[in-house]
Amino acid sequence: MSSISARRLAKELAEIHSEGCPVGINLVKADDFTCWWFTIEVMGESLYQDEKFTLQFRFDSGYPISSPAVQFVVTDGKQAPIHPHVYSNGHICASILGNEWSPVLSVVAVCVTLQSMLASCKEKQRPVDNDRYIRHAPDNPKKTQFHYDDDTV
Amino acid sequence: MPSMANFNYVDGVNPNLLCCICRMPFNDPFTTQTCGHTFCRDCILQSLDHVYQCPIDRQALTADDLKPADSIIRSLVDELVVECTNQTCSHICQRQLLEQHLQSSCPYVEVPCPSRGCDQIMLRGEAVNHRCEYSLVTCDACDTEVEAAQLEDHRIQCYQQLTTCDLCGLQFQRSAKSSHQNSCPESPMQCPQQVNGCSWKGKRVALHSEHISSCPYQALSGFFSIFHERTQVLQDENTVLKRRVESLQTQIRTIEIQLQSASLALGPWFRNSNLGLSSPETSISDTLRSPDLPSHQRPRLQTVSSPRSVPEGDAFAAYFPPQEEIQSYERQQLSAMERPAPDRHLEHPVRSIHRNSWSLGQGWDALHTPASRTSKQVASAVAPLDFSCTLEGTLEGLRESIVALSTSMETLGRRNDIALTNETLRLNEELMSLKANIHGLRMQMHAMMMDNAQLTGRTDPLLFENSFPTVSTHRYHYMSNTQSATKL
Ligand SMILES: [Zn+2]
Ligand SMILES: [Zn+2]
Ligand SMILES: [Zn+2]
Ligand SMILES: [Zn+2]
Ligand SMILES: [Zn+2]
Ligand SMILES: [Zn+2]
Ligand SMILES: [Zn+2]
Repeated sequence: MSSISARRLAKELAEIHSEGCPVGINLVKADDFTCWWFTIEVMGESLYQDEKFTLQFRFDSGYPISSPAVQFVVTDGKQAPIHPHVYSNGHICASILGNEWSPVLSVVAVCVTLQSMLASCKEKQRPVDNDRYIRHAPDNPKKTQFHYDDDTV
Repeated sequence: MPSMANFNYVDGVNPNLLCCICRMPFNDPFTTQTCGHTFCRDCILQSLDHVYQCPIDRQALTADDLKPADSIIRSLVDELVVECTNQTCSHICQRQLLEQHLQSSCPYVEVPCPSRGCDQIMLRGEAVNHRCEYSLVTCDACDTEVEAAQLEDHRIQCYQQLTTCDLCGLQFQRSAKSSHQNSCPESPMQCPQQVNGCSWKGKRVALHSEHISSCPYQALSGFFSIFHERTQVLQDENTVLKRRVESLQTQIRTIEIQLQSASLALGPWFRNSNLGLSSPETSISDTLRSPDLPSHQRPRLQTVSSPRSVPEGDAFAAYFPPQEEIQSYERQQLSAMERPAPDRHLEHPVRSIHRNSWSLGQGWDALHTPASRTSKQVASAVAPLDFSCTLEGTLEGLRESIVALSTSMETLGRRNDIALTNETLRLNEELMSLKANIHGLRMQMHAMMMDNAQLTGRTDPLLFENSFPTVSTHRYHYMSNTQSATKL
């Protein structure tokens, strides 16, 4: 792993430890600079009242130039939120994780974006192609070419 | 230089100088001409490899749109203070000077052996002391530098060559250079008696042919050698004596300290032993060991309070006033109830020497005053502490006083017990007779009340039969009180 990505992640982790995460987001584990876990809750009125989801970040040596691989954890009884952009295997169809990723974004920024994505949801439903997608989905969501057709949801 | 990304900044850095991509202070900053954003050169070039956009505002961007950042920004980040990138090196300097430090002075940078031909790698700090077959050494015969491995070969050739002495012009092989230097007749010499004071200087040849035979110091060489021997013996002896004096001085210092603490602990008695010392015929051990002083010394020492006989007695007179003074002091105390006198006494110069005397004086004060206050008889019976006596003698005297005191207290206690028993018996008897009187009165009263009840016609036998007389009367009074209260 290149030292640039490690130093950048060390800096972000130090900021999380000193300033804390935004409300509803909590760091679960960050034992190394390859895989971090957060819990994410939607605060206030929403379809996901009292639900708590676990978000996994995987980093490669290209971070922050290349985006982290982000998905919801669906093992050990954990569930992905039912949302038109979240597949039942935890993969997320969000443009900032793909072609709109920018190296100026951070782990916490991604968490906040996904939190607001859930908060603005109008109807709890899986993506229309959910069954077809999860049959052939790669392990790493970054290998999927999503079509970001609906950015408003 | 790839290590440049690993700077450790000594101070906090202005957030405006941080690159948005690596979150570190700009390293070789470049600014976009299209949107004016600044990044590290490496960071933005890597990002452009990924996508032709500005990472901050996603405007289209190519490498051609980048130009070196403003010189103010460059100097701001170049002047940030960083640690040396070698973990073991404690050097800190401006970031722009670190490269220079690593290239030329950091002792923890690996460098090749400075000797040409050697391919060993070592830390710069160790290279100075590095010796190998390529290190240059100086030939003793011709003063040229040769590699260590070739010195032997060089010597074989070098030694055979002829050379000429600069002083006498003699030709010889280089191998004989050092032996010729010791025998050249033209080489400058000093007289061998220089250590004894001869100041002659000249050529070797002149020394042996002329000077030695005429040198006055040389003539005395026999005397000098004996003299030197004796001086040596004296010097040795002196060294031994010096060491002995030193050890004695340390011993004296230790003893002084011990004496000081002993004097502190002894308080006024310490001065007393000094008195013993001041008389030449009495040694300190005599005064300390024998509680019974020789009879001829006793009277003199016991008149301490008189300033004429012993000068130090004056100081102690304040502490240990004679009998009349104690009594007058008591009277004073009883009348005025103020005690400035003892404290002022303690301010006496003696206090600065014997600090313990303060508590000692107080203890004496506390012990002595109440005893004398209770009864004048006891006060006059107990003699004041005699500080002119030895410590052991005084302690012995005190112990005897305590024994006597405890015996008398025991007697007193027993006497008290007997008196108490007698008194109790007497009181018991009186109590019995009083009880009998009360009983008689009660009987009389009962009869009177019965008569009264018959006269008024109110018969309440229960009240009189079952109740204790005092209770019934109380109730009676109470009832009458309430009645009168309601009437009012
Ligand atoms: Zn820009
Ligand atoms: Zn950067
Ligand atoms: Zn250094
Ligand atoms: Zn070498
Ligand atoms: Zn030579
Ligand atoms: Zn010569
Ligand atoms: Zn001489």
